[in-house]
Amino acid sequence: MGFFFNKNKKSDQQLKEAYFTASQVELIRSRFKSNKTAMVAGWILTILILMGFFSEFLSPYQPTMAGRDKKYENGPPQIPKFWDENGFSFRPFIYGTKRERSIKTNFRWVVTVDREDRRYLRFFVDGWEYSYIDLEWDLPGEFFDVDVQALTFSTHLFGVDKGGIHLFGTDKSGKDIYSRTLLAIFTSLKCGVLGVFIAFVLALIIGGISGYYGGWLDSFLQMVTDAIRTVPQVPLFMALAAFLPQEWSAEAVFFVIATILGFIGWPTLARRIRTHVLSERSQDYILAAQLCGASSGHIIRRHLLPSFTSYIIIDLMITFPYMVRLETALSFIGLGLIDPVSSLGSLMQNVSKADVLLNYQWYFIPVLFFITFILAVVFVGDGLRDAADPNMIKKK
Amino acid sequence: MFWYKLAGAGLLSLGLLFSTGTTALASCPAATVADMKGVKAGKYPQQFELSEFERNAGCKMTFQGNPDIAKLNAKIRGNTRNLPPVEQRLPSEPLIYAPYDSIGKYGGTLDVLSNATEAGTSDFLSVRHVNLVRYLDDLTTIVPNVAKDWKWNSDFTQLTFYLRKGHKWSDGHPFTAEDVKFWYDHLALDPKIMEKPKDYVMVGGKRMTVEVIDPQTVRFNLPAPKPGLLAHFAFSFAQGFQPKHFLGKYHPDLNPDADKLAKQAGFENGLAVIKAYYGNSDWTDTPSPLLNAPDKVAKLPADVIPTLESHIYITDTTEGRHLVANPYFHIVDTQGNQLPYINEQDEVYKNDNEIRILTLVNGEADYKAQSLQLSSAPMLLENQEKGDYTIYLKPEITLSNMSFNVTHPDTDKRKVFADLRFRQAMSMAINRDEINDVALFGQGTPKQYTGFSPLPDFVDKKWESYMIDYNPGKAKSLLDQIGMKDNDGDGFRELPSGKKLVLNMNFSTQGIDPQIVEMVGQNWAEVGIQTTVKEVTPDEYRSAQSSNQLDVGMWRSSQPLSIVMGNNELWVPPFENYFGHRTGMLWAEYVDSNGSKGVKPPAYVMQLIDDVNAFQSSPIGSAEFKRLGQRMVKNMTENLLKIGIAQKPAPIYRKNSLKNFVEFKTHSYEYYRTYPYRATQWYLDE
Amino acid sequence: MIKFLQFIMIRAVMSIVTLLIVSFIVFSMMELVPGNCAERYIAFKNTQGQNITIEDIQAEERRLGLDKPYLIRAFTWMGNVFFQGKFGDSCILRLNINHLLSDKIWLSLGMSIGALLLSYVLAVPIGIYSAVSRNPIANNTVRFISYLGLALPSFLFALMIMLFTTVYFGESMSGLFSKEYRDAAWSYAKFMDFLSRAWLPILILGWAATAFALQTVRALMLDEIDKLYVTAARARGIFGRNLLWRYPARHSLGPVINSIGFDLNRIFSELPVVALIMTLTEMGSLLIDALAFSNDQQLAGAILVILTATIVLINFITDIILALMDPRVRQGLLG
Repeated sequence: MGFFFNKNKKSDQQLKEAYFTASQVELIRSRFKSNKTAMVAGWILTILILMGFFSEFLSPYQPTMAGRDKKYENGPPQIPKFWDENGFSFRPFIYGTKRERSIKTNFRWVVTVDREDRRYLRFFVDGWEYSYIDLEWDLPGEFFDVDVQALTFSTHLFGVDKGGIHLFGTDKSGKDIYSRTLLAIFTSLKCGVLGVFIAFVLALIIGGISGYYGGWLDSFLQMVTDAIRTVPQVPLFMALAAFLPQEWSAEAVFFVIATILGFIGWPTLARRIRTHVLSERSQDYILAAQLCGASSGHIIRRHLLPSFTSYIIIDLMITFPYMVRLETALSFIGLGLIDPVSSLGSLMQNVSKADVLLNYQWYFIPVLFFITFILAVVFVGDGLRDAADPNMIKKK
Repeated sequence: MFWYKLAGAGLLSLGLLFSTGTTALASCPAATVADMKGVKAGKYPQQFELSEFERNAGCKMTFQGNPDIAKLNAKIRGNTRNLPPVEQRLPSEPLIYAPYDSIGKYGGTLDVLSNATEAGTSDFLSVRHVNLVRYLDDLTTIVPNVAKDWKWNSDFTQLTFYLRKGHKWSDGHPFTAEDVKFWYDHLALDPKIMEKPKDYVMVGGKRMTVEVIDPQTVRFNLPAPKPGLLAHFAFSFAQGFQPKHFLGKYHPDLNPDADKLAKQAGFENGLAVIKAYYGNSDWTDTPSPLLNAPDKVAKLPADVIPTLESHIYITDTTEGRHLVANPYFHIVDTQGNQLPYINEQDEVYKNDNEIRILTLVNGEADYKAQSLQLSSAPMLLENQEKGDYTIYLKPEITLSNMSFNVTHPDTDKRKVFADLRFRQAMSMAINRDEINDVALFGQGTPKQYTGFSPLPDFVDKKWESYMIDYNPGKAKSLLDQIGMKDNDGDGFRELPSGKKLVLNMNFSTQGIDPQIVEMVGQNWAEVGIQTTVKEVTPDEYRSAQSSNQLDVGMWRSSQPLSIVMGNNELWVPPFENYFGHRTGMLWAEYVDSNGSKGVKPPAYVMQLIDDVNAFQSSPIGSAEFKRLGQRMVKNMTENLLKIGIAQKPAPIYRKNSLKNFVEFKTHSYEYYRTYPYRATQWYLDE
Repeated sequence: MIKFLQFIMIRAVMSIVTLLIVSFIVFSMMELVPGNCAERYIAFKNTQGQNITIEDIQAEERRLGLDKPYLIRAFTWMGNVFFQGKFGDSCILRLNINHLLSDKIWLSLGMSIGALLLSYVLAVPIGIYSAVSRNPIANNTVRFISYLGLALPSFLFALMIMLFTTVYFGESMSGLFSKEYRDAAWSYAKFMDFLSRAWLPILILGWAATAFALQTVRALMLDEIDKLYVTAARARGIFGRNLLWRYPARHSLGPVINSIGFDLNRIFSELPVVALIMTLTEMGSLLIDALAFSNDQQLAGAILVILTATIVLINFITDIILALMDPRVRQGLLG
């Protein structure tokens, strides 16, 4: 009993100490944890990102044309079962299928499921090869070409012994939608992150300078920023994308698209950074540093930046969904990422056919992932903002 | 007593009235193609001249018009309100159609879809189109339309057309041979209007002369024989006449006051008015003054140019057009009812394919064929009952094909592409049956490209199946023979010189189906040729083609015999026009510059050029004609300049309430879409 | 007063300079796309059975004045636009662009502003509520619904609605006018017809715009609500909605007004694809048509300039309104 009380008392004291000596990050983290919605969103986001990162391991088939299942185009999803009228099985299984098509079926593949033909799932199967480090840069001059492949594996989480297993069904050419979704999440993520990063760097430089030095430089930079914000983005992007040379590989297109996203997004961020810098610049501690003889660079790096780092991180999180949304819209029109570097936008491009909605509803499954992903990011962003706001302490 | 007599007289006169209306001379039978009711066929199938019909049917024709015609005429600005009775509106020698199924009912509005004002419209334009002559629905026989008859001289250097007496334009003014001469001399050949004359009005680059013998007889004098000239007037969109009484007064060469007249209406000069009406193009879908000069059109004498077609525009906006029946149309049916049966036509623009398909599935249009692809067939077929329409799948005329750049700037690639064995290997490496199954629902026909489509019957059928069998083993051995081996073990062959070979297959969906390209790319990869497939815009594709940058050309090509007789573009480098599938660009440069630039083509190409020119001048069906044709096909096909893949069908959509509709033989533009199938006798039966 | 005029002048000049730079960029970008007007027009006509040579295309180029050097064409075009308001002729449609766009501009603008208003009407109360609410369930639900508008791309939403109504109601809800009013002149009845069909695109566009405005309002409210003046007012006995509206909300409005122009910009970006899907015959779908399908440089350039000019104008007006609203600036300018 006494032991118990002692422990409590000690924890109480420890808690108080912990609270007052905690760093900014720890404070934010603990407040974030108490926000249930944000936590749920955070977990969902983490799971999605992990799924995307390990997409190759989790996908039984290659998400490109090479991995298509010629015998199962526009096929409905196959959900593994444990039990049917023939009995229970510890190992999950799916059914074999046969299909036929003719003028009588209006040229649609009519898939008949053979309930007698059980195909058992196997785990940790051997399949197509993938590498975690795969660089192939074609630089001028053959000497400089980089072609590195490392961390190559060929194990996949699951597969079937005969035929194919398509959890989310297949598309018109037979590409597995499940595999494509996983890859697409990761691609959209990478593209969005890269875009945000580029925007951030630009915004930091321009917004920071603008806010710190003020005066006519500020006005001039503001005018430039506003000018760029004024331009209607989508049409200009379309014109730019139409101009991309055809020889460029999918990866090069990816970088260009991310760069363009960054260029479109930086004005908003720059404005926010400028606002932060302006309001902090007149604070006493900056004045103190200046009186101590600190250089501008030092002041910016050691004093100004840390003061609004949390705000910046949150701003970045908030900007991220807009980047992804923009990239999706453009891929949808057909001007964004292309096979094999496909994103959620290009997956959704196939959805825009009347035929699909009426007959192949499973094409929409990536949409659900996309919506979940964005919502997760937004709620996490909101949660972070609430957690970082010092004024919020008084609420809880 | 007296009023009994009166009643009697009344009854008697009534009786007489009825009897004279129905008997007297037997009124004409309702002969249709389905049931001719014993009337003997005339000189040309499915149609008659008035005297011919009255003779064969033993009747006297009386004419009836559309009861609503006065109301429709009132909507045409520029027409007089007082519409003369139908007998005076028709020519005294009208054309008589035997409708396909039944005599039609007047009324209704034909609803159609196009992409935009001048895009995807040829389908609908052909519905109301008329020209001097027309192809019959067997796509081989030529029959009269605006012209009553024609005559060639013995060596095909003089073509005379006989027009119809009393034929009038849609505004009531007479149509005569002068209108044909006006079109040729003052529009088609006038550099102020057409900067360069179109090649269909020339013969071997030289102009013809048009003579007006009398108001109903016009003669074309050709500088050299061109038997294809008659066929041109049968399949071309270009009508061989324009209203001289209307446009002539704005033409500075014909009317010294032309500019003054134009200025009164607010235009700069007479030529500007002509441009507003005629669009300086023989296409009949160019924007009318309603659309291109909405602020000035009220001061012009009419909203749109008078026409001989079955319907005329009354509104013209960026959303669509509306038309009403032409009160002076020259065709009647076998019972004397003036065509067209359909009162009005409504054209709506929808530029997105998915939206068009949705509209069709909902049954919101009455007819559509252009731009419908096989890939939409499942959706269209499934909803036939719900939308109350029928789908017909008919073969297209053009054939998907691919070519290798035989004049590639990279000499290593050029050497390989120019090697016939390489092209043979690539042709044999394509699994056409699989492509047919997967991409074309098994409905296509694997075929080799021969240049003609359909293949004329005097050419050996074997050429259509030349080297289309799937034989990857033979392909690989041929590639080995050329010296293309896989030295670095990556699974793909290198050029004989040792350099890596990657075939860039850049295509446009306007020209070829993406699935076909992907599958051919896979097939070629399987025999060791590395390929990358990329979709580009049509502009980019054409641009790359023009600058000789392509490795592989991909598009649809082929023309029917009738077109080849007037147009040699498929047989002369670069083997199609600017907007088609061109190959051998440097050979074309050589030929155009008479040898000073470019690369000299091999002997078989020079023979193709000579042969096609001789072919066009030889009399149709002669032994020389057939010999030349055979040799042309042999040269073209053996050398696999263009490798054919498959010919596919495409859907034709027709609402079930549209009657007198006959199944088309092909789904194609080449015979001007619906023109051979007499859309002017369609009617709606709700 | 002088200062105020000076302020206006400076702003006006900046706006015009922005506009000039943007038009130049737009024109240059149109130039970069391969192929030109002449070629596209002839291709558009898709003449088969006709021998078209390079000379035909070059003749067409001469006729259109496309063979003159780049800078001359750029400045001629810009001169026509800015001094005469004439955008020339559409490349593909061969129609005067001014006629083409004359009533479409108002349709597009009407729908965009409608969407904007809708988004503010929704976002401001929800944002305020969300900032002060103690009810986590309601708070989350409301936020969830509005953020859904962000996550679901508007074009996809439009597509789903279109297809849903087609399948279940048998009629595609496309087009801005029903058949009878399509070609008719403007009247009250036509306006009502327009509204009865325009509500859907306005809803779709507005939903997406709501999310962004919501986040902004919420963040601003959170910032303001704990400032001292609010506590002071509460101490004085003002509470509830009165408190909210008179104090923190008013100050949050400033940045919101500032962003009107840019929010409109974002809506303009979304409008074309939605309009295309729903076949709304207005400027946005014409723009996508011109950019993606027919590559009609003249038309695309004209529409882009018009859009940019609209936004620049709105920014100009909101700048002035803000200046008048902010008492510090107002004092300084008006003396």
